Amino acid sequence: MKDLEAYKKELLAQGAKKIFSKTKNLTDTAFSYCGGCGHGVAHRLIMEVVEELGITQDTIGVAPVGCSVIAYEFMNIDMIQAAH
Amino acid sequence: MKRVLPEKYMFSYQGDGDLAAIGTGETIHTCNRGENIAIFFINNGIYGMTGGQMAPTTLPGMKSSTSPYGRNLDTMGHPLSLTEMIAQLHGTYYVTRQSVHTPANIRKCKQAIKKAFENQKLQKGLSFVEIVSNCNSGWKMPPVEANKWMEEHMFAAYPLGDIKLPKE
Amino acid sequence: MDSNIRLMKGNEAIAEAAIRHGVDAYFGYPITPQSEIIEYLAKEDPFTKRNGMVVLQAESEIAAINMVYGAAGCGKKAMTSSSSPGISLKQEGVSYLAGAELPCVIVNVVRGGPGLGTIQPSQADYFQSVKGGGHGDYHMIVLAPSTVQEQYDFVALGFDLAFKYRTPLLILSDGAIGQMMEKVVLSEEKPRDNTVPDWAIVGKTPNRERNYITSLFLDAEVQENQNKRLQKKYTEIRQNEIRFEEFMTHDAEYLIVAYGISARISQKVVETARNQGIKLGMLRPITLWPFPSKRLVELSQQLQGILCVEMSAGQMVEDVKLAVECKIPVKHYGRMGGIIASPTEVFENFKTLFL
Repeated sequence: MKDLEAYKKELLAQGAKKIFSKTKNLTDTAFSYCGGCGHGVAHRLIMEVVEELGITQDTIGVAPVGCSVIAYEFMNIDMIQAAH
Repeated sequence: MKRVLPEKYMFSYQGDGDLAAIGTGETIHTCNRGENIAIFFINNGIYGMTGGQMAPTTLPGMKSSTSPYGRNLDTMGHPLSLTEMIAQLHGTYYVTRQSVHTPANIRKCKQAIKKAFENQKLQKGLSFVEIVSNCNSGWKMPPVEANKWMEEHMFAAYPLGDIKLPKE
Repeated sequence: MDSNIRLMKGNEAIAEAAIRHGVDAYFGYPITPQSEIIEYLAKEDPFTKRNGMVVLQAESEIAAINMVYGAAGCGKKAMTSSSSPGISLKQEGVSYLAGAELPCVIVNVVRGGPGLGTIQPSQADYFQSVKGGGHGDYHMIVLAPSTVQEQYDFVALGFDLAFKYRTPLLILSDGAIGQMMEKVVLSEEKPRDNTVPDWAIVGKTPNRERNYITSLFLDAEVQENQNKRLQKKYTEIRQNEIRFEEFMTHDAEYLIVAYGISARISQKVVETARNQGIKLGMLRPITLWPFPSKRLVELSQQLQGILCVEMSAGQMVEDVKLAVECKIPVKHYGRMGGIIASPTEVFENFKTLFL
């Protein structure tokens, strides 16, 4: 993890520009979804929009049953897991 | 939840099992009451988590662990286009179908998600965003092939685009 | 007009208590014999006319309990009510509420079963109420009112206990108490309380970690720990919250154990027996879970026999037998299918069984 930070610094020092950063509304937990699955992108888009609209403090999500049953592990907002 | 905390933003993130099968009644009535929330419906045509069983959205002839010989329309019924049904209800304000398999689609989808939250802010009522997705594990295909299959088959049954737009 | 004493139906008392106690939301679905609860609330329209309490007729009993789950997750005082078949439908939701440790009050105005049964009063939902009607290792606190006044009072008590222990609580009424009219002393109307419990989901502020409400713990060890937490809570409830009432037990040689409407009938039986010189007393459990087992053990030292009077084939009688470990004779008498036994009938059976 430290190496990555150092590598980032090195790149920035070499004139690299930061063009993408993960929204703070996603936790650092790695997605448990299969490679190629759409859930990760969908999670990211929703959380980005919530951040861009500045409504993180006022947003509550409902997690479903299925692969994204643990959406609350990834979305860094107040959430409730719904019934089966 | 929205009723007891009306000033907050509520969204639900649902799949084709809870939204289109076991919770169909609740989905329809929530939409019909025009609750001021956003519903994001991820449709991949299968139950991924429980091991690839047939969903209401499974396509005709599509194989799953509970339709191993392909979905037979005579005995298993037709794929359910819940989104089109929802659009007919008076309570819904904005209904759209998107996907996230190419950068262009991702951008469009994000706009739709944004619109859903903005509608909520303006107290417009219910916004419903379906996201047609793949399930390469459930479909037993590599990701690229799954996306291609999705374009060819899923989009034919579930065409992308806005289904109900605000009358303004 | 706004006198604090009113003649009310048991069901109406529950509805008025909800408004006066400052309950935030009621979600229900009509079913006889408890529809007066939602009808009264709809007529009062507290959302626009009184204190802003949300009242919503859901599309089904299942939807109603899940709305309670959502509102309770937001830290609000939410309740629902139904009668037997409807309560069966709600059981999955109840299990989720228990698993996610959410407080709420559920009212069951019991009717005769099984199946669609009858609309007459019954006490045959005892097992479902106290043994956990839904899946998994859980308990609800179960309060059994026997008067319309208690129907009223137990709403406030119910929410106090539910929030104290973060647990769903059931008021186990029956069609007789729900429908009968009695005098009720009303409490002052309280404003709704806007305090937000620290576990509630109301939007994540930057100064705290996100809250999430769930009953899902995929890791078996985490799930076992969650179960241990629940069991610890249940032990605490057993230690602190057992409630019961005694009638002429000081010198009793025989005891009737009865709750709800059966306790009203049994009180009359005790009076009749006493008039004939028979030393009969009564213990009325107010909390059916936790059950007043300890007090029964104490009393059993002086007793020659216990009669359980219930409107069922004999359900609570099992808990009484367990409590006294069958060291003294424990018998059951009850009618089923919605029939209320008369005091004379109970007394005659008591004599046949014990004297």
